[in-house]
Amino acid sequence: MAKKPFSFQTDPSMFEPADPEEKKELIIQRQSLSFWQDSWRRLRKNPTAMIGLALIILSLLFAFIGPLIVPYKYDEQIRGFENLSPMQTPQERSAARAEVPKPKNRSEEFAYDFDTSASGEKTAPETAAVELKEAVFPHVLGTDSLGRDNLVRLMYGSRISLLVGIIASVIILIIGSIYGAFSGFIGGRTDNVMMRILELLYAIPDILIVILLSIVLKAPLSQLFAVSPALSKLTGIGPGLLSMFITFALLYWVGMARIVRGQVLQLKEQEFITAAQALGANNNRVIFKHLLPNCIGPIIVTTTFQIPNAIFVESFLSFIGLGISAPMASLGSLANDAMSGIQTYPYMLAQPAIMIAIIILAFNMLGDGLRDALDPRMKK
Amino acid sequence: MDNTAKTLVDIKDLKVSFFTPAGEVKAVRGISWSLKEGEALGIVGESGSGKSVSVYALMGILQNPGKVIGGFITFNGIDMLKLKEKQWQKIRGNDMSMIFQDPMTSLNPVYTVGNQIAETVMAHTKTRQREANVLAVASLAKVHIPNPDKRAKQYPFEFSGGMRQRAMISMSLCCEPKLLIADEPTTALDVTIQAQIIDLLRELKQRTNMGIILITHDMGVITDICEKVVVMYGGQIVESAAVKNLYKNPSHPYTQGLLECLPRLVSDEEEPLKPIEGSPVDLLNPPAGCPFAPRCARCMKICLTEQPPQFEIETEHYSACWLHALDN
Amino acid sequence: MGERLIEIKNLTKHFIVKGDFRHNKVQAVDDVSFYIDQGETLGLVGESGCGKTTIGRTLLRLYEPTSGSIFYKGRDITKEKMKPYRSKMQIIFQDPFASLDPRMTVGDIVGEPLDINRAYRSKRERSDRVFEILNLVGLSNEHARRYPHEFSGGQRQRIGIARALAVRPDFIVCDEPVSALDVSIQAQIINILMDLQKEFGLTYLFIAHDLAVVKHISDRIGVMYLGKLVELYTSKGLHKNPMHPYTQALLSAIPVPDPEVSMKKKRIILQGDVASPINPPKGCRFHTRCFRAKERCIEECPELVELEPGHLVACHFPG
Repeated sequence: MAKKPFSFQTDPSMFEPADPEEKKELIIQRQSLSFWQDSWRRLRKNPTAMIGLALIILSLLFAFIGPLIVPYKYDEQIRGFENLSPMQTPQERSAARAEVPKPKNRSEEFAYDFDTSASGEKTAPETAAVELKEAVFPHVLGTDSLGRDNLVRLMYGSRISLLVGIIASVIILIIGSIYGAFSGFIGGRTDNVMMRILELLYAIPDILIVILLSIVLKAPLSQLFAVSPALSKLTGIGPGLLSMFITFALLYWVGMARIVRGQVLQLKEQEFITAAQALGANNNRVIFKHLLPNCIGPIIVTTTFQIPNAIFVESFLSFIGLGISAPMASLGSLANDAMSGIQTYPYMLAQPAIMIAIIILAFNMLGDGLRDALDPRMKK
Repeated sequence: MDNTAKTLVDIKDLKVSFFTPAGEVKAVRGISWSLKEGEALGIVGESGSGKSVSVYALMGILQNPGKVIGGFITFNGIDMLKLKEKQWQKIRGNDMSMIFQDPMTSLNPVYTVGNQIAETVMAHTKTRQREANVLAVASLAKVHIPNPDKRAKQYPFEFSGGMRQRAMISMSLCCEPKLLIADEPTTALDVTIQAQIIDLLRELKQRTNMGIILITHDMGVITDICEKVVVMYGGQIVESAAVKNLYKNPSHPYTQGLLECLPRLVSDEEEPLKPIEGSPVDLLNPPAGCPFAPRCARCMKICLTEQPPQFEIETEHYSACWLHALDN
Repeated sequence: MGERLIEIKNLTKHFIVKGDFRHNKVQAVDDVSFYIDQGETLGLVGESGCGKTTIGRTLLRLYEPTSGSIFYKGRDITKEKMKPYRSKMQIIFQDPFASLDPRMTVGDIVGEPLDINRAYRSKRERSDRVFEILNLVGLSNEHARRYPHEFSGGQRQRIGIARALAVRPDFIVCDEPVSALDVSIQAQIINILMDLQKEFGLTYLFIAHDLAVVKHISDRIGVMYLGKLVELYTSKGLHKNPMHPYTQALLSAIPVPDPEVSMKKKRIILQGDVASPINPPKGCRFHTRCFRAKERCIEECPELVELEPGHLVACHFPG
């Protein structure tokens, strides 16, 4: 065995049979990524989606943590601090106003008069209090016509808008996905009927329903709140907001139902569904344990797009006066309040509008990124 | 097949890798074979052996993130790896063409079959539409499709599986290529239809002087059509020989295992089959030595660390296994 | 072999497929009858459109039969509720990638039949049983925590087998269980199936298109063409003495690796394609491709007759 025509020296003992353990070591089990890890990795690579995600996180911090930092309450009216521009103090304002020549048009006149009367009548204790507070925290975004700090109101408004958006989207998610899954899975005539109902619902004008509901619910709700003191805390959820939630629950889940139904129609042809049926699984089990978990991708994506939708609808309704009732504020109602003084104080409208725009944009960017990241076909 | 026939394809030490997010998947790790005009070569292997990838590299249709990272491909004397995409396109479909496994998805569903064949003809030669249509019908007749003029006006969904495969074959033959590559052409077909297609390929081989590369996992199909065969495992060639020699004298443990584990129609034995233990190779982390080592019953220590070279068993019969070193 | 476990009589399954303006009737299975004894394996072969997969699924009432009867242990279960029988009659699927829920762990997949049938009293008992079955098919305990996509095709098929075994069935329909696997893995799975059969006294209906595989594992084989059973005999007998022209063509069409055998093999190349089950040919369904077809075959559909003990053929001119 020593004389071998090899060009390199080989150890003859290498030609002994290998141990089974040595062979096993060669089979390195590949570190496999789970579905979520794989999607997160793909999402991370998408800069737009990451920006969207960052903006959302910032908005959430802004809305929920922000008010803890700013010392003002959203409903705290400070006399003498009305209608300040961003970062302005009353003193600066009166100084600025003093130099301005007498205005020609009526609304300015009125404002001017109001200001001089306010600043002209500075009483001693008020001034002291005023000056004390000023030293602590400036009104970064100014104040509104009742002396309430805009920044804190913006934060609070964002909080309400976000909450409404998210809660509404969750309602839509639950109703829509269950409806769509049942319709798609059962198929046949039931599916037909369920889809026609869906189309009917889609055709109903949503704003009309909200208006009707808010009118109809006003009387019974105020009675309800009068009777139960615990519920009076929820006075903020006036007929407007409640009717909005009811409308969401009634009408807005159509899109989600259609998407989930589409997914289910595809999935139910797959063999693992037949396998579950062969094992004796009933319909409920198949839908909740097999079909819906496999629809999570599109469900998440649709929900992510649904949130800005809901926020927009809420803002719109509050803007036309149908949603939130005072003293609660949402971004839409802030915009509404700003309308009266839009000529003089344009920043009052700009602030909530920009905030709405940022939130909606952020969710859309994230939604686009999620759609690509969660697509199972992109998996190698 | 005479020895003075020209070498059509020459592959030397080809290496192909896929650069995926998970890492480099070494699909082909240094293979060499050659094909003469009029010859039929079979490439046998299972999933993950690299057989399809090597041939895609030959056609230049490797998809991202796959890249040829080493070796030479020569076709008809041309160094293929140096070609630009435009030059590839002139050769593809013209001098070398390919038929794929799944006849359902390889034809475009929105164009008639005749249209698709005519399009290929027009793309490569300076033929007009009318002439090309006539050529398309003739092409279909060559592959024994009945009523070719009626069939040429039909859409792929009106064809059955076997017919579609024939249509694919006729499409790849319409420009009279020098090389036909068939990637698992009969795997998706019923056995009786498979027999028809094999018969057709054999007839075509005799009629024209085309070189054929046939990729399959079915040794029986190779025997019917090919003269030479190459067995691939884990991105490498483990054995290569003339077909009758491979069957008479399988030398590599993998080849032996493959031939032994097939249930035989002829045997009367009640014994259990002799499978090859273990699972196919993970090409992300291929073993350092012989790719078959983890599954080989006669694995030695050297097999785990050193890749075996090709040992010559007899004329034109090579096997890459350290066991042959012991025989010397 | 024990008593008759499964029997079907005149089983027919038609599907209605909506065409452009009309409804097409796909005659997937037409008037098929056979029985399977306990502990036996009946193989069912045929090409696409022959109805073998449909029979397997209709037997388990995954499709409702159009007409005919299904018997389990002598009892007519054609119209009964299947829930109590599900744990006795199981199925293994062809596609190891599609037949496992990608969102469930292996432990949950194999445990699902136990959950559905409430076959355990505590979580501990459930996981013990799951581990026991996984070990039976050659997988380890720690595999229970993993997801299907982390396994190879052969391993996934083992998981599918484990799932079918979980509730200790008597009868398993094996629907092309090895067709989608690599050749070197096929032998592993076939061996597992045969070992399990010996150990637990299982009865199989083995559906495949590869005659060689079917011959190895089956005791008897039935050959189907376009929804009808054309020949039924023991596996050895069928290979030695096929009488139906389709069986003969099928046997000759199988490519053989051995060059010498291949050269000597009689080649029967059938003309034309498999006809569509939507409009099967009148008379004998095979007559359009048959190399022995005569006048009678075009008009009259042959009955399945017993030409020698245990050997049934449906042909006017067998032999």
